[in-house]
Amino acid sequence: MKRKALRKDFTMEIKSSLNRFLSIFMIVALGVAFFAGLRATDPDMRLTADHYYDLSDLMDIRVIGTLGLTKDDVTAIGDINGVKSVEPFYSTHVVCNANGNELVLEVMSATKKINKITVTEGRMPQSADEVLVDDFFLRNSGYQLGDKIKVDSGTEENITDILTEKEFTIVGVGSTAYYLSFQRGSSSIGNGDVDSFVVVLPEVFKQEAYSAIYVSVVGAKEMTAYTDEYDAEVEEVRSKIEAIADARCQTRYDELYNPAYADIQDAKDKLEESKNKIIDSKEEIATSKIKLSDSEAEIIKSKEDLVEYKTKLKDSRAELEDSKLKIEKSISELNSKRAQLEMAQKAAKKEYDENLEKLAYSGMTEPQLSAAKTQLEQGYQGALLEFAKADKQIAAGDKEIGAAQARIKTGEKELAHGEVKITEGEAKIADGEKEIIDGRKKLVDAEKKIADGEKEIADGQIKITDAENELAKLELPSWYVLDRGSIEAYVEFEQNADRIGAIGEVFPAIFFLVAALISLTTMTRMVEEERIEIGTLKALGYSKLAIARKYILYAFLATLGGSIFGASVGLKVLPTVIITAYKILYRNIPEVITPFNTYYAALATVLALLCVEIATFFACSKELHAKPAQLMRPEAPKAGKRVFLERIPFVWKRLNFTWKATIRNLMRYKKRFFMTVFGIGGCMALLLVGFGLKDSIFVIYTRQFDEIMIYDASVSVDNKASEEQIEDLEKTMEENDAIADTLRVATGSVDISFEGASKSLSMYVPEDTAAFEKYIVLRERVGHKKLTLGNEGVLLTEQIAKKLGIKPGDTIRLKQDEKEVQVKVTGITENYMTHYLYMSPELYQKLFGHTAKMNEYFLRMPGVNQKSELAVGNALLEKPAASGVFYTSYYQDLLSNVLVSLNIVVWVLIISAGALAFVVLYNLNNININERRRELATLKVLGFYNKETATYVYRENVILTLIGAGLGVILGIILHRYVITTVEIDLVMFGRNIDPSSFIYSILLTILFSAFVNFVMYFKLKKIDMVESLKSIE
Amino acid sequence: MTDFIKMEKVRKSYQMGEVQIHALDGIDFTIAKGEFVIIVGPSGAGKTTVLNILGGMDTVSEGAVFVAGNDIADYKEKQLTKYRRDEIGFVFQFYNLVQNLTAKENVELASQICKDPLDAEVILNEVGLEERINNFPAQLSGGEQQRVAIARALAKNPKLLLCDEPTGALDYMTGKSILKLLQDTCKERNMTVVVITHNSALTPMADRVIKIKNGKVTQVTQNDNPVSVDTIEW
Repeated sequence: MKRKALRKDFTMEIKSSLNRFLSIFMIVALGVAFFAGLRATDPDMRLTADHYYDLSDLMDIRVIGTLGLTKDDVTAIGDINGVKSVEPFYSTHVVCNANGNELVLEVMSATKKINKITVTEGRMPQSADEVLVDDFFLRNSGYQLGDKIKVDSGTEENITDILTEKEFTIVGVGSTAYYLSFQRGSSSIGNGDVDSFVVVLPEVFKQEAYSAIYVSVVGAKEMTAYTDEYDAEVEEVRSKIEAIADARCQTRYDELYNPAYADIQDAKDKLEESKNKIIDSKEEIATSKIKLSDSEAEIIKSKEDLVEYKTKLKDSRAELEDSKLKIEKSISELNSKRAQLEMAQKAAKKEYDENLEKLAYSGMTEPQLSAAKTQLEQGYQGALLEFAKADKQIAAGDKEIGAAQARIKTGEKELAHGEVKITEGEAKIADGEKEIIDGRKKLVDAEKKIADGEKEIADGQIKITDAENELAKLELPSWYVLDRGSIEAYVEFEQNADRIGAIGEVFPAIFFLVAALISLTTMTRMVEEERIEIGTLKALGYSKLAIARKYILYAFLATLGGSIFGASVGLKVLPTVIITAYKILYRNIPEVITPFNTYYAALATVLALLCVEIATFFACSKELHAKPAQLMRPEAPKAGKRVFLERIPFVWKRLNFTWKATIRNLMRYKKRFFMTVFGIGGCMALLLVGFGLKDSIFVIYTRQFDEIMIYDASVSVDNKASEEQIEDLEKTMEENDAIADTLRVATGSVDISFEGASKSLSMYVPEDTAAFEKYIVLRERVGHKKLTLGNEGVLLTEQIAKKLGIKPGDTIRLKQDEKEVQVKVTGITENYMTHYLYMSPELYQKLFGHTAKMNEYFLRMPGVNQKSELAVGNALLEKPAASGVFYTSYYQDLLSNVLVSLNIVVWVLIISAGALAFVVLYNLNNININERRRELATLKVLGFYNKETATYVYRENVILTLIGAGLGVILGIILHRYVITTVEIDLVMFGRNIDPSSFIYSILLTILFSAFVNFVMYFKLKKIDMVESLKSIE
Repeated sequence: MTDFIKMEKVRKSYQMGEVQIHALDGIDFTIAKGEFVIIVGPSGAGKTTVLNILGGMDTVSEGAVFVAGNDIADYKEKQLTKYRRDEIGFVFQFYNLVQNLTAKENVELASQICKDPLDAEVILNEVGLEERINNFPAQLSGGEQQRVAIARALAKNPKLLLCDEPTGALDYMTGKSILKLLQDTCKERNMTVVVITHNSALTPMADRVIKIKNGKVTQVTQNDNPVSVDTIEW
């Protein structure tokens, strides 16, 4: 075979200069690993997410209706061409009490086909009183698997109107691809943010319409999320769904409107009836009233009559009594008369008798006696006649009396009658009055009933009017047909992938630059060393190409090998590391997908090959074009030149000659100079970025909570709390020694917009702006100039201002609860977590027309440890006015987790920086030692100790390292700033600082790496064989 | 005095892959102090190896090497370095000057490490380079460069001056002047000078001539009346 010898030479070459081969191999491997690895991370992230989405069948499209969705809607959507499957979905928000804190939960219905839940522990609910929760819930609430939880509506609505159960047993823990990050959305109940989601069976929901319909698109699952192809496929179906939206909405509208309308009509009719009934009733009442009046009049009259009658009776009685008395008198008179009579009779009789007797005794003669008797008898008869008269009189008197008595009796009877009548009459009157009272009462009742009835009618009327208004409000509903771009975490994830992609464009450049330099110097060195061989081959007649082939092939093999190795390692390691770091934010991602990304591997390899081969070409070309004879002579050593510094004799004279040699050497070997400086510079820069990243992120932690948000906790006030409850809460806070200070703040969510872009954030209106600085420090980030919260405008936090391009002096639009105002931004304040807008209460009043409702208390508890803080918080939560307590230490803990994961990234950077430094310095030393072998051997011959010889070489290394470090510092600061602004996530602003300690660490580490390499090379130096090195060229 | 230098049964072999190479296969000779010695032999005979061993740059596999009474074959690396530093001056065929240093600095390179150096400028003057003290080697001719090398070797004030084909890269006239310099130095400073050459025409100028062939000493000749190199023509 032709050129066998040449080929042998080639293979031997690799074996004999393995160091050199490895130098190129390693630097190419590093460059390719970084390039391919970083570039591949972006698509890998998307693939990883897509894998998760596919595993859980994340919906492609989500349909929401402003009036809910029905079974018919489900069917209608399902019939659309391109829809693979549809599934309806219920959701609602409830509150749940946990550890005294009120958590807001999103209750979701379990789905079978789309948006499947990934169960990590336990199982899905199988009966209505079972629930599956997300693992945030367990961590935040302290509940565990198997516990029961109780939920409430969080509004005035009864929970049992919303769900069939209010108590659930936790049977499982899981996650959903819909909520990729830890954000769960916002809510209108509780404190405004949803804390976790829970899953129950669909039967548990009482609402009649579906909250959403999920749709899977044919062919979408096989595509990768985030790609144009996927987006197009989904968009096609999405627009088809939108096309039927109008018709469905009309149907829905009719469905809701018509029965409602009918109901209202019914109600109206009923109302008319009732109204009529009432009119009738009113009439009746009127009649009754009249009757009653009449009756009353009658009774009054009767009463009057009765009174008259009574009076009469009284008179009669009086008369009767008189009469009685008179009769008594008469009777007694009569009796006395009778008695008199009797006495008189008796007396008369007695007298008569006596007289008779007397006569009998008198001795009178008969005629006398008869005359006397007759006289006596006459007299007696006369008396008897008198007596009989008197008797008659008496009898008459008796009769009269009898009659009078009878009259009295009659009178009495009459009186009795009369009395009876009176009694009766009174009874009647009483009855009558009672009736009247009853009647009145009934009237009152009836009137009340009528009043009630009228009220009911009025209410009913209002209800009807309301219902009519409501119905009138019923607009034609609309559908929102949303694709995955509406999911916050979905979009955010893509943005993060983009960010890494951005970094991937910049970072690898360092490595490739260094790789180019290293391969240039290495191959140059190689070619120069073999100049005699090349000359010989040329003299033998081999073509330039044949000779060059060796070097090109050599470089090619080294580069190819390095690329393959670097790609294999880099494509697996870097994406895995970065995505794992991101998993802190996106905990549910099951596995990281890192396929061998042939495109980037190939791209990196091609770039590397280009880099190295061009360098090789340059290295070769000079030698190849030289004449053979020239080549076979030893190379004229590069002329020493006077260095700039020599023109300053003041300095130059002072240097001992080794320093002079060093300086001249530095200036002489420019390629080496740049290679080292860039290599070390790159190493230093990477270290700075690594440490700086840590600092920037750590600063959020310290600055945010030690310098800016210096309050310890906040208590939110239940918006249904009464004045007394609030006062009670305030009193409790005052009495608690641990709480040094409180400040009332009005907080709420607002939307701000500026030049077309808008964002929502939290607004704080402190009751006392002067005291506010004890809770939140407002200052400019650069220079820490204090900002005051005045009445001319608002203060915005930096991150959001930057995002929307707002500068102090700009006017923004602010919207809260439908009311929109314009307001000036007077300052931008330093802040690292989430976004805030600060406004003074006076300004609020001016803008919104009413005082801001203070619904939160900021607390300062200086010197209180976390456990005691918790105790204070729990004590406050027992007060009905407190609906939640938030500790700033909670965010600190959350952040520290993020920081831990970022440590991984930092270590990756540090290790790669070390690798870079090592490779560069190793190469440098190799070249130095090889090229200056003769020189170094001469020194040895002269009697330089090994250490002295080493120092001779290392002095240059050290200077180069220092220069490189200097360059690296500048480069590092720039890179760091670039990385920070590219990588920071929306919610958290990374500090732009690098701690002085990081500079020191970076420099120390760089020096350490250098020292290590130098140490390794020392042994090589020792081994320089004077004899071999000084072999004459014979 | 004789036996200033003595090589006794010196053997040197080394492994080159699977092959054993016997560079020196039993070398025995002595050299007296102040002698001008020439070692001749064909290429590859082992001359340079002998010089390297004498100069403490290489080690023997067997045998003893006495210099001023000390067996340097036993010396450890550090001792060898010290030996080289203080006792030896070496002149190479290809000068081996440090390109980045001027002539003066090249000499200073050597003088700064020894105990009792001679002044660089003086030495350079002595070798005839007063005009060239601040030139770089690239600015010097071959002869001038070799003179610098010699000056460097002399600056150390060594006991033994070893020269490996010092005129190999120089033309006839220049070479001659260099040899003259060496000869004069030997006489004036009573320095032992050992010169390797493969030019046997030079042997009359030496006090002793050692012939080496195939790693062995084939002949040692003493010259009672060495001639000045000026008179030799070749």
